[in-house]
Amino acid sequence: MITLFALLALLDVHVHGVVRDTATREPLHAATIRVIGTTRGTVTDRNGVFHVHDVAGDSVLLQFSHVGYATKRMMLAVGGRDDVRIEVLLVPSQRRSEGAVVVESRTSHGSSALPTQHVTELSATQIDEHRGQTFADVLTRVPGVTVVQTGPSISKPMIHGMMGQRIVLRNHGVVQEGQQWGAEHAPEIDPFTPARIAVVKGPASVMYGPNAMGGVIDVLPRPLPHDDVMHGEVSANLFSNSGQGAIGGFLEDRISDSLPIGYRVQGALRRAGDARTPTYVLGNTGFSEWSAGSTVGIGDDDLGMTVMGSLYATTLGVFAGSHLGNAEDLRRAIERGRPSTSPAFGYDITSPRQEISHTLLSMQGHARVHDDAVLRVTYGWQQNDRSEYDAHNTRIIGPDSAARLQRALQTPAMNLLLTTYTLDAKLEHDLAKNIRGTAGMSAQRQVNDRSGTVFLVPDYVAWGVGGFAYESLMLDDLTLSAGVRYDVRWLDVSIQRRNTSAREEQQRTFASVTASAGALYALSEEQSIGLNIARAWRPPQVNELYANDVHHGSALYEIGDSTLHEERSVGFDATYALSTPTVELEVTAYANLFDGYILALPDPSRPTITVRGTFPTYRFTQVPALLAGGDVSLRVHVTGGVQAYATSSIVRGTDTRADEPLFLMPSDRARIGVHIHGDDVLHLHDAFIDVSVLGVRRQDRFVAGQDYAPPPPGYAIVDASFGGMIDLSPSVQMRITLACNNLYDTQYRDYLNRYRYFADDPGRNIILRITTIF
Amino acid sequence: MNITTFTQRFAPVAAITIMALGLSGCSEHGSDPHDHADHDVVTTIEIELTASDSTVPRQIVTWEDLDGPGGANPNRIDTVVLRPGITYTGRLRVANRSVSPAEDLTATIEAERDNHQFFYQLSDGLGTLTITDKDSRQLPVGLAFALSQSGSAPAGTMSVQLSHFDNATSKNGTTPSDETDVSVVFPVVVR
Repeated sequence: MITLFALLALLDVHVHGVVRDTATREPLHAATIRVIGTTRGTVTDRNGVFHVHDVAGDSVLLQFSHVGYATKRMMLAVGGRDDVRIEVLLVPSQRRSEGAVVVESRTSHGSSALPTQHVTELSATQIDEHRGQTFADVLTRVPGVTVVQTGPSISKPMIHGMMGQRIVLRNHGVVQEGQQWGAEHAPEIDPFTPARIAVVKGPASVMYGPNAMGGVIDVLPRPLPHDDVMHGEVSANLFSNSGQGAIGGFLEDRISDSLPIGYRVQGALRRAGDARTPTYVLGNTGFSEWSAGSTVGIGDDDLGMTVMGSLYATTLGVFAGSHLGNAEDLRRAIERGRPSTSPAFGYDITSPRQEISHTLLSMQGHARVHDDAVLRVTYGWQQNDRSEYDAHNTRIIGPDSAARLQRALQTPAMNLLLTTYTLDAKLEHDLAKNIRGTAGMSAQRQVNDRSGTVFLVPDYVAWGVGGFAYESLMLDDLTLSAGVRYDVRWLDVSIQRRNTSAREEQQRTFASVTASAGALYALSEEQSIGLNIARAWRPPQVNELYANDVHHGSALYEIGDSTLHEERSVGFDATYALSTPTVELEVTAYANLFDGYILALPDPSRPTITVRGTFPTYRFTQVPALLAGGDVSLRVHVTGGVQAYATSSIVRGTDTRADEPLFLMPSDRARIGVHIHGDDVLHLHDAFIDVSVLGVRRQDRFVAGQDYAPPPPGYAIVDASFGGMIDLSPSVQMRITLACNNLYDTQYRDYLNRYRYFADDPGRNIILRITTIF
Repeated sequence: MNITTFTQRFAPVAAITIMALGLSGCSEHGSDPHDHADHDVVTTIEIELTASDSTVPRQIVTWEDLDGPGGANPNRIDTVVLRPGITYTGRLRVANRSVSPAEDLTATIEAERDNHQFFYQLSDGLGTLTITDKDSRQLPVGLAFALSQSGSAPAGTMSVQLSHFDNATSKNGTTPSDETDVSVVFPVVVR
């Protein structure tokens, strides 16, 4: 993307300006500028600034290039002017786009983790090329991140075998609070949100509080524009499998050069029909979604403020064949091996379904209070409104009629309104030239209001307060970090049991210390080793304490235990990274040792007897556990534009008391692929072809008889894509990607898909992604 | 930065802030009613057995879980007492007694008979059970049946299952659906 504007006009032509990354707006150091047709050129300085003097002629053709970015040429009309100032935005090159970019952020301020921790960042371009049907889809490109799916429309991210309450999802600086306890509750974020995503695979509780014990997914908004030029993007995605169409975009500008106010408005719409397996249609798996948001920022680095508001709403169909009356129905569905009915493809969404809306308001202010200290305050308000409509509750309808049926259909079986207020204040400071750190406090208030006939979580009010500090010492080839945090959580619940009007009140208080320490050592220019150790904890969640109902999707009766105590862990991780011009390698090994790991275990001695039959009963309990594993990512630049790459991840979860495998751990997986890059192919510049195979082993670690069906066999699927950029005009570019996932229409079931009991995963999916950048 | 510049710069933001804070004053409580009256819960299954021999008294057995699915396990599960060699006419009733007044759901099932079927199963050696009522396609419904005691088992069970068929054409009289609304088991003794 290129934008330019001229100032004044007099005599000898002087072209100057700044070269920046299009997504992060970071100035690019050492970008090369050549005046085509001459031998003249220059490079940018640390601030991305360049000057070309004494340019002759009416117009000049300039070429901008930088390692890792698409080369850009632009024609400048300079006739009659003596000073031309331009801003050049370079798009990260496809060359890097397959592998996740590793940012070893030694600067630490503004980073998503301690400087000794490994952060994997997905750039806006990478997200654009791999954007899937749901927000979490793109995250599966990060080794060690998997998704727990409830069919094709609901994906919940999992880091190193941990999800929900054990990881934190941040959106615009605020920890997203939905109903994370449910495996069928996906993050309420649109895939088109203009942002980068940073993934921290490891405890980050010192920074983000107890629930970050497993890691963080940080949605980092695109910075507001620095210059008085309007930018924007319009993206359209089409998916053949579910007939999904999606369109999204944003527009951003600065109000004027003199007034430091920037703004951005964004929006997205998507509609999907039923997903298709290679042999049948999954009835009622369509969804519709819309989102809108705006951001206004004012000020500069020393004093400023950003206000962001966003709305998100979705209606998700729940596969009709997954909604079963009792355990016997589930057994029959498993035996049959496929859904009893295979409806025609359609876009209609009926019950069972979920309707969710999420409103987020984030206000961030910062002020430089001292030469070496910046104060940042963030206030967040969010409201999550979730309604789940059952097919079952609306069937037998009493001694009357249509009117009552209509009412019943419109009444959710469960409605949960969750309101969360957060206030964070932190002081980023430099204690010495090479010692940097942050000290801060955070406070939270959360109110849950439940209604309906399902009793999975009660009404509650929760308060939380925490204080933390972490410091990093940066030596030439060694970085050391340490941090400590203390949190207190108060939980005040009001439990209403079925068919009683009396309420039962209960108060619980949880408090504990979090601490972490780490070291990052540069063995050479090309190699580094990072080590981290962290002590983390989390309070038990309300469903783990108070659930008392049937999960229809799983035909299980879940019963909480109100006496559960804090879950504690000690985590270790070690990462070796090698980066040479021909080889990029990253190896991570980790182990998390839990004391009081909370999980639901079957209780065959006390089944739950209901009028719909006998349900297996699972009770939440605590066991000592070990979660350990490793991730590997390798990329070899074979020759010219040809790269070979491989990623692999392994997780082992063990209940160390019973010496049994933990339920629902991702099975071993690896992806191997080839990426071929060409500079100019068929009017496309930065063209690429990418073919990869994803192989997933059968999960052979399970407790026989604990699950309804043994884990499905392993599978291999082939994904292919090709694409590139087209210059529509000097300031408008278009990025096109045509991809085909599951190229051979392979029939398979993934162990982490909750529909695996009764249906296959979706078949071939041809995806067209077009993004216009201006 | 002097205070005047500060004020000028932040005046527009102040307006946004106030609007934003106003938004966060939204209710923390949902507008949905907390009563569940529109959802039907089956709490009670009643079977009335009338013997062909008029000297045998009429018997009503009840399976009841007043607090609905979940919470406490069923509060009442009666035992069916069969006399050797006797044939009974059976009537089944379904009710929701968790509301006041109690709702009789039998008539609803009767009205939607094409979409429902009860499946009965007697354990081995207790006798035979035949459904006697039919829907519009002459398929069994199961609100009425005939039970003949025969065989040598002194005790056993009688299970009752109600299948709901969203689509009446998928009902074939022999295969239960995946959507079971009722599945209860009565103990049986013969004496």
